[in-house]
Amino acid sequence: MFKKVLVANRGEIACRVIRSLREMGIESVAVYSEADALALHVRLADEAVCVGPAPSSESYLDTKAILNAAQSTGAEAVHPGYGFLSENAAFVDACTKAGIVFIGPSPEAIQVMGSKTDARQRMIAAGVPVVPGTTEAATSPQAALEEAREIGFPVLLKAAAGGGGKGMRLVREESNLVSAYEAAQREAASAFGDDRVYIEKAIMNPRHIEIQVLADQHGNAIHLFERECSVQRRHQKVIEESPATNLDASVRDAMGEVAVQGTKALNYVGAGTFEFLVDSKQDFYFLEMNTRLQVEHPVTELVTGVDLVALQVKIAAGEKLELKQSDLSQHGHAIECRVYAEDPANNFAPAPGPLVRYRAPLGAGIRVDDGCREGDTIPVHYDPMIAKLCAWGPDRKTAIARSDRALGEYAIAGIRHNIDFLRWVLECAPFQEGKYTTHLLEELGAYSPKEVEPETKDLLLVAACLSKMNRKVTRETNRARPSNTKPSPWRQAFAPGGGKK
Amino acid sequence: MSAPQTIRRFVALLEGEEVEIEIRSDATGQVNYKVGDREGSAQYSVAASGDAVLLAQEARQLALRVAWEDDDVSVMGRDVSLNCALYPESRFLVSKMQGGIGPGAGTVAASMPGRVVKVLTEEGALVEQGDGLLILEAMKMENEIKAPRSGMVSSLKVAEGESVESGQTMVEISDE
Repeated sequence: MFKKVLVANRGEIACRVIRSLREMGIESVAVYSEADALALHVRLADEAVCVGPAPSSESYLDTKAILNAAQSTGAEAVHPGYGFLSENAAFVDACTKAGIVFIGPSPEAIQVMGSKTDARQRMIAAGVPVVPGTTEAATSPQAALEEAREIGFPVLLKAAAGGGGKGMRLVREESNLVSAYEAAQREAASAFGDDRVYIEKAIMNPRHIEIQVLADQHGNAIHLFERECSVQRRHQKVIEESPATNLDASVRDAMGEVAVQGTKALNYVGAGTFEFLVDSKQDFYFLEMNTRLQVEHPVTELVTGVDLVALQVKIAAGEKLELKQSDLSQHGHAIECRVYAEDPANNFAPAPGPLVRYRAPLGAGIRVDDGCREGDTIPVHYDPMIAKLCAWGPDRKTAIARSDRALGEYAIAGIRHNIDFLRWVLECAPFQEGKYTTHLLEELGAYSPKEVEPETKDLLLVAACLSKMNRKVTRETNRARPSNTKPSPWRQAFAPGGGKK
Repeated sequence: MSAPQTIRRFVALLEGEEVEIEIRSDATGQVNYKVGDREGSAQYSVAASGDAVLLAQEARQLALRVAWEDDDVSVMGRDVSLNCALYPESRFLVSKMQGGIGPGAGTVAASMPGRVVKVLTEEGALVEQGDGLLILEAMKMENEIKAPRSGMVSSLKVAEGESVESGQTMVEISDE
C-alpha cells in the first residue's frame, strides 16, 4: 500500500479524499492555488504545496506543477478527485512516465470514454444499448442540420469532449438548429478547447439513472447499483438519490449487468459510472461513462456501506477487489442535495464571496461533504459548490424528511445560496411521490422563494435591530481591551473573517 | 412602574422597499416594536457579541443568528431567514438625500469577473424590466443579464468579446 498520496484537487472532494487516506494510514499531500492558501483541504492535509496562481489553468490544471509537487514530497500516487485532471489522459501518461501511480483508469479508457463518439462505438460493440444518433461530430452547421433531419426532431446537440451539460442544447424545431449549434460550439470551445458537437435523438421525458462500477487490475468487476440523477437544472444535477424509485428490479439488474459488461469490455480499472437515459417504458440507453469518482458518489456509499475512495486507492495499489457482487445490497435510502453559492433570484448566477456565517446541520442520518468553514471565502475562480448535504434513512420518506429538516438548519450568511430552492424541490409533489423525469424543474416553473409570513418577518427585522443596538456595545468593549497581547498571525488567519481584510 | 425604555428608529431596505422600524426595549428583556404599520411585543435576549438573538412571543420561540457585513444583515433561524440592509433612521435619511441608498437604480454591473459573449441591446433601446441585455460567460456558464428596471439604455459600456471585472458597470438604464 502507498505511504503517501497527493490529492490533485480542491474543495470538498479534496477534503473527502484526504479523510479516507487518513483512515487508511496514508499521508496526504494537498495542492493549492494562491487563492486557496488557507482553504480547508490545505488545513486537513499532512503537507501542502502551492502549484500556482488562482486561475485553474495555471494551478490545478498545471500537470507539470502537480507532478513536481508529487515528486518533491515523495508521493507515490495521485488521486485526481473529479473535474480538473481527473479525465485527462495526457496527465495519466505524464504520471506514469514520472513513476507515479494515477488513481484511476488507464489513459486509453479515459480517451475512449472521453470522446462521446468513440464511447458510443465501443459500447455498441460491447452490447450496451445506446441512443440513436451520429457517431461522428458534425462538420458544419449545414451538415448538422441534415443529420438532425435524418434522425428526426427533437434532437440533442452535445459537445464531443463534453460533460456536465456544457455545450449541450435541446433543439425542438429545424429553424432553431443552426443558432443552437453555433452556441453549443462556442460553449464547448471555451469549456473544453474542443468545439466538436454531435447530434443524437432526444429521448423525451427521460430519467437520468447511472450505475456505479468498480473494477480491479485482476479482471474483477462489480456494480454498486444505481443513482437517480433526474433532478437537473440546465443539465446540471441538483439532487440525486439511491435507489431510484419506480424502477423495476429486473430493469435495475439488467442495467447493472450491462454496466459490468461494458466495464469488462473496456478492461476498465478503478471507479467509473455508466450514465443511462431511461424512458417511460423503462427502456434504457447508454449516455456516457464518467471515468472518475462522481460528485454524487456519497449516496452510493450511504446505501451500500462502501468507501469508494478507499477502494479506488486499494485498486490502484494493485489489491484484489474483496467485494463480490453477491456481498452487495442496497440498504435504506439516501439523498444528496448540492448546496451552491448561487442566486436563485438572479437566474442562478454564481454568487461566490465570503462565508460570514457558516453552520452545517448535524443529526441522525446526515452527512455533509463540504470544503469550507466559517470565515472562508468561496472563490470566484472555481465551481461555486459549498457543500453536498446527504441524508440517509431506512426508507425514502425518512430520507426526504431528514434532508428537509437539515436544510432548514443550515445557516449561511455573506453569500446567496440555493438552500430554499432545494427545499422547494424536495417538497414538490412529483419529487415526494418519486414520479419525476429530467424535466422536473422545467415543469415546476419559475422558482419564487416562499414568502415569510409578515408577523415572522417583523420579528426577524426586530432581531436585526436588537443585534445592531447591542453590537455597538461590544465593539466599544473590544476597543477598551488592553492591546498588549497580540494574537499570532496564524490565529488571525484562521479566525472568522480574519486575514481577509 | 415600568423600567426605563430605550427608543431607536431604523429603516430596513427589504426587497427594494423601505420599511420603518421603531424599537422600544428595556433592561428586563421586553421589546415593543412597530414595523411599518404593525405593532407587537416580545421577550428578547441578545448574546454579548450581538450575533445571536432569542425572541419569545406567546407560545413561539425564535432562536436567530445574525450576521453583519457593513449595513447588510442576514438573520437566520430554523426554516426561516431574511436578508436586508438596515440603517439607523437618521443616517438613512442623510444618505438618501445624497442619492447613496435606494431601490430602482439602473446601473447593471458585473457581479463576477467574466467575458461578454453577446450583446443583446443597443444604446437608446427601450427595455422592459427582465429583458435580456447581454450574455456574460462567467465560471464557464453563459448567463443572461437582464434589465433590473424598465427604461432606456442610456449607456452601453461593453462590447462582445470584452472581459469584465467584478463590479464593473456594463449597462446603464435611465428614464425614457
